[in-house]
Amino acid sequence: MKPSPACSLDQVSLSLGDRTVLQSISLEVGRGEQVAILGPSGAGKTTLLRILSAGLPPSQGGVRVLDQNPWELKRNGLRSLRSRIGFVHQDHALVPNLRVWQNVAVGRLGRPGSLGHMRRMTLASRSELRDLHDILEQVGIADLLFQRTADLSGGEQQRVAIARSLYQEPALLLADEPVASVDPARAQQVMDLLVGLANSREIPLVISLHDLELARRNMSRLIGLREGRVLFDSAPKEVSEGKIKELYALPSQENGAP
Amino acid sequence: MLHSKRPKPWRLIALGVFALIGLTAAAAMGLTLKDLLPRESGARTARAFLGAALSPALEHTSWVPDDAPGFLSSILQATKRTLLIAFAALGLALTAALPLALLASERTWSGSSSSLAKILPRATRLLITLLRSVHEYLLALLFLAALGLSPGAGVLALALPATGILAKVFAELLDEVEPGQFLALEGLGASRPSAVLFGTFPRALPDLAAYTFYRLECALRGSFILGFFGFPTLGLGLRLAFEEGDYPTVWTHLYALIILMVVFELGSAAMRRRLKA
Repeated sequence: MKPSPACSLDQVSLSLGDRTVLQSISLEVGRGEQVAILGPSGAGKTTLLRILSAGLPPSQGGVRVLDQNPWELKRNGLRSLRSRIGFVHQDHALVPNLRVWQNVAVGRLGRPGSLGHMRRMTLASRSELRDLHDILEQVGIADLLFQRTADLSGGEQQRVAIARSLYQEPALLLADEPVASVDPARAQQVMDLLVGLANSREIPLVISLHDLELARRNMSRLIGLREGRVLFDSAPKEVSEGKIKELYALPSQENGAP
Repeated sequence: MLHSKRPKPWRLIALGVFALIGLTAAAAMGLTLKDLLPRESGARTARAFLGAALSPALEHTSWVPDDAPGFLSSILQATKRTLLIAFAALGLALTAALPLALLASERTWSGSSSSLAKILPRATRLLITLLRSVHEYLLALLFLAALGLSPGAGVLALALPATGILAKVFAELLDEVEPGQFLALEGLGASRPSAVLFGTFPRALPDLAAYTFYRLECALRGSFILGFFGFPTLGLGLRLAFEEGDYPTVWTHLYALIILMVVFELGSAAMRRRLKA
């Protein structure tokens, strides 16, 4: 029997106001896959990730994430589903005036127990701090445990954001433009880190990327998104140069009538 | 967005209307510039009062029993009571205002369609408005009648309006924080209250603290004035001395208040710097 996919979209469309952001998208991400979503700015990459993360309901079509339809769940069920989905935001979405360990500990706020959260976020126990330290060690910044997050560099903050997602112990890891703000050498480091972590923990990984080469080198599958539609969806080798040109070509109406 | 930089004529018009209302009100009372200056006898009193500014009393100016505490130590006692009432009132207000602010904040209920989400924030805002609606000195008279001249009456009189205004401003400050972190925390499964508590609240904390310090200053002044109603704070000594025309003693009390405020301002400025850094 084929294992069920980590997430799947069936004819998903999304409109915000009178603008169509995504148009009848169907795709499946398997349990061991590492998928890059490519496309020009405004193609709908971030929106697609938000739908995959159960953060945004589609206007039409079916969504299944980790064997559940998020939009049929009650509030607590949706929270529990979201607690198993790691999402590395483009702007990191860290709380700047919390310490690094607190920003990582935030990762478990989706689990039950409000009083436990309050205690952990203010007075972490020795063993919890050790766990947080271990997670930070895996992303290479264990020495920053007690630093104020706002004092970190952009690259370090990104690692904190990745650590926060790992602390969730996610069953699916999504990242929105994780290398948008770092130089090419660091970009490869971040990709190594994400792919390595996904491999060692057997977490499916979906990343939106601008850099085609980076995607080709690191990911097992490329999805090209243009104007809210899937232009191609295949292994890196099978994506032709023609398709790539088409993906990043300027929109036709800009060449046409005024 | 460019057109928003253009000067807005309605602002000038509104300013003009306000000025006109003010002048009309003054005219309705028959107020002239001469009325704003003291008359002959008033000017004499003012001169006597200001003349005493450089020679505040340092000991009792009227007869006191032999076993009464010294003048300066009684000033110190009154200062201490002024401080205690202010701190107790603000501590109480802060404790009550934080949960109220969380309940009243738009952020806490954003995206929720339950009936609780419709009723609870409105009910909380109504409660906050009610708390703010009665002035602290009116409450002082009320609690004085109900509880007698006890510290509790003074503390409650200051604490209730302070709770209302703190909760209102806290809720507004929380709602002004941009929602990125809140949404991210909700996205990883955090409940709305914990997303506000750990995503929004820390970002607002420097502003919350600064405003709390400002309210503490207000509470100190309020506690001083409670003396006018008979509570044994600095205001009581000032009122009694003023009624006897004992201006040097009045000035000692005023200086105590001024020193208190300056020390407090220095302390709170240092605290704010630490929080912002």
